[in-house]
Amino acid sequence: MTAKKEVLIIGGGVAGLSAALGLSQLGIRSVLVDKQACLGGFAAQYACKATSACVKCGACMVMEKISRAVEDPNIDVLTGSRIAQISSSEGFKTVITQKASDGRTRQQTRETAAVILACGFKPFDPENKPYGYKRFTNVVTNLDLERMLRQDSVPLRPSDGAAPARMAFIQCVGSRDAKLGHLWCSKVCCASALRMARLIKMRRPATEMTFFYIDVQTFGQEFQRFYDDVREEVHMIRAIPGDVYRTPDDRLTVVYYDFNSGQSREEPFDMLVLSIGITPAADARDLAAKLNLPTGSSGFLPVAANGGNPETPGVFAAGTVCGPMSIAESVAAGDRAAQAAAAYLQGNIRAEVHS
Amino acid sequence: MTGPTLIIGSGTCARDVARHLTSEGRHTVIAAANGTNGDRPYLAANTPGSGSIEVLSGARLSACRGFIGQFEAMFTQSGATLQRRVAYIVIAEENRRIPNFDLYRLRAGSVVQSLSAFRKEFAMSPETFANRRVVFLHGLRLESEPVLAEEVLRSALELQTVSGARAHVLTGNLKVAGNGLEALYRDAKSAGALFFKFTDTQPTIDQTETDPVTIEFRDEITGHDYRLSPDITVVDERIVPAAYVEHLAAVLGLRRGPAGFLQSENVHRLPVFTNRRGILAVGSARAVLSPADVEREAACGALAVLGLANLEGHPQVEAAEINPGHCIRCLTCFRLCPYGAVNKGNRIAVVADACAGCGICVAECPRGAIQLGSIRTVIEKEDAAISASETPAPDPRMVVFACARSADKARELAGGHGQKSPSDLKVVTVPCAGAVSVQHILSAFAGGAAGVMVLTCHIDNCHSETGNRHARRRVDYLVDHLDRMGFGGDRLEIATLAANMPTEYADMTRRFSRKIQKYANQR
Repeated sequence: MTAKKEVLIIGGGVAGLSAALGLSQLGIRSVLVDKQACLGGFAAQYACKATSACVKCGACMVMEKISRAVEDPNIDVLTGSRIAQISSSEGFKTVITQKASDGRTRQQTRETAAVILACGFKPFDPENKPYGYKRFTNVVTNLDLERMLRQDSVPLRPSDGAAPARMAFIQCVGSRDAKLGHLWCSKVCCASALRMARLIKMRRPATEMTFFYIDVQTFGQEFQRFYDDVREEVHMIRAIPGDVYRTPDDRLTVVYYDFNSGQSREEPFDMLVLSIGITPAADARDLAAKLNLPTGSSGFLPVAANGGNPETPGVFAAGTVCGPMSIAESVAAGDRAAQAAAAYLQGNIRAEVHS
Repeated sequence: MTGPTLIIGSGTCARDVARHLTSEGRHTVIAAANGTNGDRPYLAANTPGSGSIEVLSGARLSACRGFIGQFEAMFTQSGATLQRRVAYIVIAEENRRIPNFDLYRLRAGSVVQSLSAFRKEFAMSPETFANRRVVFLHGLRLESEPVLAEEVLRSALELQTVSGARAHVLTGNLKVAGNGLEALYRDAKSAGALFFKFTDTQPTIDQTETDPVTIEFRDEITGHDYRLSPDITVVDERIVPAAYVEHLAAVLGLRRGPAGFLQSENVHRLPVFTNRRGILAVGSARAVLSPADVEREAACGALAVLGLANLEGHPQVEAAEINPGHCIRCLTCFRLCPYGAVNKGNRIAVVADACAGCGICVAECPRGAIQLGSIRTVIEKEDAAISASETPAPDPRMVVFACARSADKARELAGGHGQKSPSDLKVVTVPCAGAVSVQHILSAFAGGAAGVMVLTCHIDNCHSETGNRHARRRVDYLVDHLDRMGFGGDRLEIATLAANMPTEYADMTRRFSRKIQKYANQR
């Protein structure tokens, strides 16, 4: 037995962190590679959305996982690093390039017994949607709003730093969209948007909030109560707007079809939040191809690969590479991959002992 | 090697947990309260690895003593009592469905069926549904779940394609937040199933004694009026924990979530942990999950058991200790411990393996009989810090008691972001704000602090479940007393923070520093 019983984990977001910590509990070492300078992925930028109590978004857990992973002697953290090459034959051989803070690149080759693909998702780019993203500065995405709430506690209009008196969320931007071939619900945006809407309402009660949607998705055990409450605070409109234009006084007019009156309606807002969808990441697809792991028609990796794929032994997938999922689900998926990888390693050891 | 793992469950999830564990060479006991959970030959053929599965058919947990590593579980099995010693417990019970007949004022029968009953009948003989008109009522009165939406969508698709039947789906919010559900919805629609969505209106549903069901409504999108007379009306269901789960929570001292499932929905318990170390809740026992999610959770449960077993003998935190000479057996610690880690045997003792080191008992013990090293060090450090800072600073002296999991992480981040803190701020990091006693706060004032802040987690986010509530109660009590003493109750404040709130941490401490300015240099 020569190969080191190590696992390569590509992606240091919630799923990758959970997988690494799960493996460490079993005494299995891992190399946790992330292309960003910091661990945590998108979730590390999210704001706490607690109002009077925790709303169970799970974003705070990411901080704890990061510090645990960084301090864990079983986890070799390589941030600012990319996979230059990966190949599989009796284990996996991976060339990793790491950018140091002085700008120089360091290259290393790691040999591992298994690989967990946890490289996350790509947020949908809403530039081509008719909502004026990038043309009108006060049109932001839900991820922009997360960062804004994290940094300033309240939303501020990018154009003038003013507090928006009227805000609207547009859901399903890039999700549930047959024209784009995106035949999936991104699962987390209703929760994220409505929680942010309520948080803003609590911090700035005078803010008028509107929510444009197709179907509100259930989240959490207390959803029914949450939903009953939120309808008192937020103006819910079951329609997806067709157009947005900027008025001379720097407001945004949203045009939508109102089924109640059977007519097109226009409403002015000071700030618009687009809930952009979770889409497959290109690097995940490339890595999967190099490892012969098939990609589904949606572009995400197969969900079943969370527990391993019989045709590609030793390759596992976890988190949003397999499709939209919440922080809680990504934690579970990370654990699932860790358990499967550990069982795989165990099997390898057993096979070697028998032979 | 430690003892076996008890898996409580009568379905496939329990079997999956057992299989994962046996393949890692661990021994398991499945207690299936409802039935046999697979016959012996089946399990023998499906037990990978060197572990074993013992099945206790029809065994219901009646009592459980002990703690992680050494639980003594008592069962009743067809009138007899039996006992097993186990190291860990995994609860993998199924949930229960209640048809919403009452919400729609419908009576169950051949023309009105629950979703589960319909699925069963349809699976057995799809051909009998040929040319029938089937109406599904989904999420109209109560919000539904993706698990149920999937069954409705699949039924609608299959009715249209397999039997040439006609499917109408009357739905509130269509729950497509599940894997492949949007695609399934599109498929059902292209196959000819008709979907009507209700937002502010509701269909009028009538069922008289003799007539079949009639459903009248105006379509919100087209404005057309409809009157349906379905051959079969399929009514949705609500998913609730099994009654046995409630019993298990009581027997094992587990906290339940708002809907009664076996996890308090506290994010610190994700994915399968409970408030008691060594007891795990997986799958439908802890949440409403899809079959694929339940399968995943079985693996998570196995990982958690293996992780706990691997860490055995390597304590992760320092445990509280009770000094028997000072203990008066008042059982305050036993009542308050959120982790159920206090053993009330001949001697009251904290079980080190089960303790999470939160320090709630240390702060609450009326005799000061409980010690926790980490808290003692903290207080010594605090005293040293306060007496050492004699150099005059522009801001009033303040002490912040910060929960290590939330506020202290926020403080670290704030520092990293270059957020400015008040100049004379002493931070005392505590394992949980529930460890901060009235004496700790008073000693901070006695040490010369102009103001004291206790920073804790949000309600329902406390790792120790109730630590933040204890902290608030003590602060409220002290504020009242400080006011009455004329010392100024506004010198003391409690606030909530999460680890990812660095901006709020900086804002809070700066605002408080300004507020207590009036008390500066006033000893």
